[in-house]
Amino acid sequence: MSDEELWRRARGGDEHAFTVLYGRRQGPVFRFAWQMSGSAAVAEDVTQEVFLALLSAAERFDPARGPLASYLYGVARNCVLRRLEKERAFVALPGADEAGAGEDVTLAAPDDPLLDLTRRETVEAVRQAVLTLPVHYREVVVLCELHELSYAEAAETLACAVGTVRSRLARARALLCLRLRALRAAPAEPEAKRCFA
Amino acid sequence: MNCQDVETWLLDEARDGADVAAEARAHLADCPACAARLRAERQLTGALRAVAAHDAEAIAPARVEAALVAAFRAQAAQAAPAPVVSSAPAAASPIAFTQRRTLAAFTARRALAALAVAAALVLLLVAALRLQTAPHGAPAAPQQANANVATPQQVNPGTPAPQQANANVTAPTSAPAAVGNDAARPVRAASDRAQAATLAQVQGRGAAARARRLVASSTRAPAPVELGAMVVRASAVEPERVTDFVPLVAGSAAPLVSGQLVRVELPRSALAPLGLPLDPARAGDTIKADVLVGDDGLARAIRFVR
Repeated sequence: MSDEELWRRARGGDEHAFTVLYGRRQGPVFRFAWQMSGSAAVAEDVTQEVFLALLSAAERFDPARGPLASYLYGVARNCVLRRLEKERAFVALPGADEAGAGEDVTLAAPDDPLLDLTRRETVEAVRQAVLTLPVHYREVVVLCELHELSYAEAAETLACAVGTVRSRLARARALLCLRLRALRAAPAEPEAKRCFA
Repeated sequence: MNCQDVETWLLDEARDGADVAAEARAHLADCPACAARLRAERQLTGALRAVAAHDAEAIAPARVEAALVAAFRAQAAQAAPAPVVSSAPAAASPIAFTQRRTLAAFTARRALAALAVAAALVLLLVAALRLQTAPHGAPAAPQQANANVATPQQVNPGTPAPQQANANVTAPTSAPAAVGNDAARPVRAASDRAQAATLAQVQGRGAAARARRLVASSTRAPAPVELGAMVVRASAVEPERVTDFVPLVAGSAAPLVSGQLVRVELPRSALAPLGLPLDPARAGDTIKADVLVGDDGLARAIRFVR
């Protein structure tokens, strides 16, 4: 049964349809919020907000305008951006003030940014590096690379052109290489710089 | 083909392993910078996929689903037609058990209600202290307290002021703050006046008589209470004896549409500011009370429970 059919049944009061839909879609929503914020607590809140929004304002989703999955990603993205905006007042994200930094990234051949890292270290290093990206780069990396959405699906979620997604992704990846090299040079520093207390 | 041309497909090649055109392959063979970049991009793709695989099993905790299912049921229950009934505190919102901030809309209401109750309690205590410090035989304090909740002209313009004040406490009028078991029925001007007169007589016999009447009235079969547009029904099986509701806000407050009944425990000295008799020997004891808190956060009325 499709997401949209489950949504229709849930709107009609079918609790089972709602729980099936939740079970199917909560993972991606939770992971998206987690990977965007770096905080499991924020991800938990965002997941709840997203599905509460689906419950309380179900009419906002129009199946004719796109799949439910994209809609849920879109709502999750708005929730995460609101959180990040709110919390930026307390702790500055490293690199958050680098608006447009991607435009200045040189595409000269980088050294292998992950040299000498174990798999576990690699995962952590990449996660940290993703979190240090400016938000508009971070979201395309999360959607296209970590959630394996196509350019078109990401463009639908982000409400922008496919070309924009593609160019942002290229710059985001270049920035990631730079950040990973920086993390490798100073591995102990970046972790304490995000706070969602 | 130059470096810039190669860049257009380099990303796709690194991400998806797209076929490398012969021209691009030739450029990569001749350009160490582009070849190194391709290697780095492939490394990055592998690392990102490792993160994706590592995170693939991450899901929201079960409590999120529990809260959402409770919200779903609450919404389904709201969709079904039901009378607007205020109930005991046990009948709180079904999702109130979660303390997640995402339920701020629900918890904020409860917080407002709690604040309102706290404010009402403070007011009662202050008034009680003032009464205790006033000289004996000076009825100004309790009467002033009641005057604050009265709209005398709506009850009986001809009644002397102090009596009007207390009469308005239980007289069934259309004023939003008018609370009392008798007020459940539609407003009838003639019976209003008759009841106001009766109350005036009751008041003339003193606070003890008034209190007896209030308590006695609670032993009757529970009748609905009209509070603005809201109807409050006591539980038919409730074994407790309760007084009439005593309004806590002025009649000019917005009509009460819905609210919550919050059970609290007060020192018995809180009875005095409301014109109810107080045994000084038991002033330190506590007494149960139900505070009716509107959705606007205002404590509208209080009744005492025995």
